[in-house]
Amino acid sequence: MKAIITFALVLSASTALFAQEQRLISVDANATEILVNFGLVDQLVAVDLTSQRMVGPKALPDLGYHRDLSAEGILATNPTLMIGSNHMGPNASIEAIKSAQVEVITLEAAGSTDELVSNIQFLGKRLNKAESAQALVTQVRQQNQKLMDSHKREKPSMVFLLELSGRGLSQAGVGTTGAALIELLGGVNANSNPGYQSISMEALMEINPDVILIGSRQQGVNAAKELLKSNPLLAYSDAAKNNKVLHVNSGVMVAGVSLGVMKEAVKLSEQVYLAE
Amino acid sequence: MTVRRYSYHQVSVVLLVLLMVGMFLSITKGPMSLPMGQSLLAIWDGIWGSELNQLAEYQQVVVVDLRLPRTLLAMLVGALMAVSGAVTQGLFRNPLADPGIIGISMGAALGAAFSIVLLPVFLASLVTPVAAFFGALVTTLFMYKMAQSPAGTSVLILLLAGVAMTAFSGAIIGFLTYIADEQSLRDLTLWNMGTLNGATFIWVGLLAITFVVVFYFYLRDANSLNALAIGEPEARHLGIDVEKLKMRLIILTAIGVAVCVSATGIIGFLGLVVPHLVRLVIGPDHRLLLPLSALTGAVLLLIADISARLLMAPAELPVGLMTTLFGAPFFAMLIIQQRKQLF
Repeated sequence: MKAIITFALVLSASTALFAQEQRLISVDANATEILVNFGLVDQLVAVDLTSQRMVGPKALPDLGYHRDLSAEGILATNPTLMIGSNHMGPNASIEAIKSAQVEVITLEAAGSTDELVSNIQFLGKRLNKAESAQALVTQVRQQNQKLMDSHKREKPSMVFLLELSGRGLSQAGVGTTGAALIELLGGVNANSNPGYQSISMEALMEINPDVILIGSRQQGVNAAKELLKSNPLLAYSDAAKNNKVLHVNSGVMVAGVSLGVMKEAVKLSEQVYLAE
Repeated sequence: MTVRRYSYHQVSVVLLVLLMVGMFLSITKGPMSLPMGQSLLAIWDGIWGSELNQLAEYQQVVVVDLRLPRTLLAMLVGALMAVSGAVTQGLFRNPLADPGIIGISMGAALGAAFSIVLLPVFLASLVTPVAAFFGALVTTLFMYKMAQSPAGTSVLILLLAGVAMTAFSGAIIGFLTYIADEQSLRDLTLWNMGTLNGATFIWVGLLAITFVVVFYFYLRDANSLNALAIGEPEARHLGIDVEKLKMRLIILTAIGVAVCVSATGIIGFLGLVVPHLVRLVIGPDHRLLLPLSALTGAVLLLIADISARLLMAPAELPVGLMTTLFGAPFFAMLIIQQRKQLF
């Protein structure tokens, strides 16, 4: 009995501790997305450049590019906890922030669903949002299951292209978020080189993939329609004949597998495996 | 020689006062508002180990570990870049020369590009300064070798070799840029704009040693540079070993600028313009030009860095952007003002 009371006391004390207003900083778009899903947007005091889109209309101080953070700028917002990915820097700034007694959490950029899940669980535990985290994990696992279920034994070949605002196309290779998206969709990436490379229409026709995924930086533009319109030649490709030139919201494809990428993948999967 | 408009003492006093004001602002101003007196006390405590200031621990970190090394680094890099520019212009007897002309910036950029694009992120941040340093040094020495002939080191060949090397390095950097992913691209762009963000006392120490050594040897050659200004044969007749002078100064400049560039990335404009400013005010005597260029460079980079930190707080601008943005129009204005004297 005594033990139970003690346990209850400790539990309530720790809950009270965590219930205190935290001043959070996130310098990683994917982490920010998770925090917003935890309902912690009001505890965020500043975010980096790429996170701004995630926090919606709430205007937060902009900490700039997450590889060139200003330690003093961050400390000036008086944070209690800073969350970023292993890409944040420079090291001297991060060290200075740590030595000013601000807790710093460094997440691995997620390359797969499992890594995304472990990031969610880690943040849920640390921020005392276990329930929200569990709900999110369930959601991600369900999305992943749905994607797996739709996969075919014969994997379709796919390319992921980025429209370079009138300066041609760039094709996603190994290690890119585009490649991760293709894997989620159960396809084979036609590009085995690392990083992004520009690709000509002729080369694309030669590859003649089953599915062409295309993202654009311009918002409110259907990149797939634009691509077909500006390249009449593409109409002769298998992908176009089968209506498999698909628009991707590339705004969610910042760095690695995120909640946004999962959602986008589920949406795309339906289009990819639509009965022909 | 143009007539001096102000005395050496007047100008140095003004510059020293400006430097003091700059240091004071750099230490007391930043995105975080802290009481001025307490900030200065924190520095005092940091040096003497006393406990006079009443700042919270994290505020002390800001002043002592962030602002102080940054202030010192800005001064040292500014001084070294500017004085190296003055020496390069004297050596090439060309007012348009800057340390970039002997391949330093391009070589450094090439080294940095290899490191940023080809290495994984955690390695790149460590290797980039070293790669930039060796890139700069190797390119410069290679060019110097190329310009050597039985008749001595040809300044003309050195200049032409510089054009060729710059184009070639540009092509390689272009190729690296082409295969780079988005993050590397952004890192590369930022590196090329220079920043003092991430200054540490280790860099300050390294820069201080480099500055003292390089500046000492520069000053020893100030008279020889004056003689060289009349012409190479004339300098020889005055008993100066011009070949050795060239070699010494090229190597010193390469080392000095390479250390700067590896600490901060490329900060443009200072090496080219500061010596001009000083020459307009004090005349072309290298014995005065070199120390005053160093002072002016320190002041200018300090001011540029303060504005880079404050303008977009809590984020910050690359300081190389500020030096060029404010420096270039100011330079143009000065030239227009001085047109009559120049012709």
